[in-house]
Amino acid sequence: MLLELESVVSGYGDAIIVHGVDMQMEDGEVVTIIGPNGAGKSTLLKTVVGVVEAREGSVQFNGTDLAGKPPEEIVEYGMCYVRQNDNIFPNLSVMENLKMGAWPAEGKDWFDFDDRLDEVYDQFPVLEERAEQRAGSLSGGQQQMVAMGTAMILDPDLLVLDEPSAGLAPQLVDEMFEKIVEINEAGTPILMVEQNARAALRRSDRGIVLDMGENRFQGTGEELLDSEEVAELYLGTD
Amino acid sequence: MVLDPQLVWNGLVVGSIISVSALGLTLIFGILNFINIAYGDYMAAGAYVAWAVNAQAGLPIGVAIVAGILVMSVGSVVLDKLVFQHFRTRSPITLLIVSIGVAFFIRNLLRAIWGPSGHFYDLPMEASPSFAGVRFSVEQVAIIVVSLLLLLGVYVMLRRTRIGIAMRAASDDRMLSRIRGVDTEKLVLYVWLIGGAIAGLSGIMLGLDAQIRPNMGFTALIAIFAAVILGGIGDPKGAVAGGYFIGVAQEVSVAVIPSEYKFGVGLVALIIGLLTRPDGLFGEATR
Repeated sequence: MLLELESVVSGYGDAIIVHGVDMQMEDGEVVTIIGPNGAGKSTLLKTVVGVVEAREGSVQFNGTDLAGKPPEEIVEYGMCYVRQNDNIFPNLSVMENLKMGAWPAEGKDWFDFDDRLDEVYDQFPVLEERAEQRAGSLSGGQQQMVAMGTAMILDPDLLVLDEPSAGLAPQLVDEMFEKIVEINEAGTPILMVEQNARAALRRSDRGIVLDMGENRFQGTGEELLDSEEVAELYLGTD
Repeated sequence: MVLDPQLVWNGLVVGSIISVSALGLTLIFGILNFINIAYGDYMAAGAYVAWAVNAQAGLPIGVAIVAGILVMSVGSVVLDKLVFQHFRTRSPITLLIVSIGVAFFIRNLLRAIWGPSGHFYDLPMEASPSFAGVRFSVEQVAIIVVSLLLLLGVYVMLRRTRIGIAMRAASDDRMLSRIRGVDTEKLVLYVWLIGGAIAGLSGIMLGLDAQIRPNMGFTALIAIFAAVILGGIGDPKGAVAGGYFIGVAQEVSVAVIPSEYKFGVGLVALIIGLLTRPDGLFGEATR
């Protein structure tokens, strides 16, 4: 088991958003969390990566309980998170952003920045072209590539994506999903939240439906896509 | 109107001091996201420590300068641990008000220990040479050269070193830098060490150029704030450019307005800066 959440409770201040969520994820999988607005999807991801503190429950990752650890520690366990918005350092160059991505591994024997950089450049060629450019000056789609590349530079054991297609032009959405499949096929498991639920589930091994801060359904991507109940309540018609 | 070269030279000296102190202030703002009103008093404290080592203990000025810088560097960290750290998650306004308290405390502590009157460093007497009609002192040349070296050093640190890039990253987005694995509390420590050292150095330079008084740093704050705001708050390059601009404008204005009003030039620039920067003092940095 790569990731196992047990009765995770979290929220902001007095507001509890996530009410005891359980989920499991195997190594190599793509798992998508779907659900209506305000269901607590993003909050759940933030809890997994430590941006929001888990109040109760456990977040087992590769056998270690990460619940309660701050984000700067969690990334050292090989879990890299791409936020929905503001996921780059706009005043840093693309190269400096990538260097920040390598922060936890700097100076470690197993890590070779140039090797990883080559691989990230293969996956996201635009980053090589724009390496010296200020990241904030790039287009929205390119900024999303910077964010993904920055997370991939560590060769993470789990890539956590919050709404990777949000704010992208329609033709870029497909491109983004293809990238995600590509990254997964190269060996990186992915946990993501997506508004674009059908498109995401089609590319996922499994899906989880979150509503009112609790998990309602789990199943393979196809099962969720085929379920009338899920379709009616959560997928809408498209 | 022909610019009097003597006034321009004086402006460059004052501008150097404002630039260096504005840089320190803006670095601290970038990471901690609050305006440290006590910064001027950190400068004064640095000047007094150096004066005590130099004039009271009788040690050479070089030793005194190093002592002033080190004491303020470590002192800033101590003040952070004692005071500011406890307000880290509070609003910038709360921190600003807390820093006003710290400012009063330091200023009156200096007054209590060394008295309200002015002091001068004990410097070897040297003739002021002149060049092309401009009279200048050895101290003034030293201020300009040391400032340039320091500005260059900080620039290289921010651009080329791992810590410097992380400082700029945290200044852009503190939470994102934590997500990338940066221990921002450690970064805060480095920023206070560097920002405090810069405050100490700029206070000593201010004392070398004028005289050492308990309110010397507080008086200089207006010009420093004006420089920081003109340059875009949180932007080190802007703070430096703003510093030289304010310094030269302030000194050159003496040709047209009575010199006791020259500090008003900083205020006017501050007002214009605030009016023309819609984001304002506590808004987003526009870089």
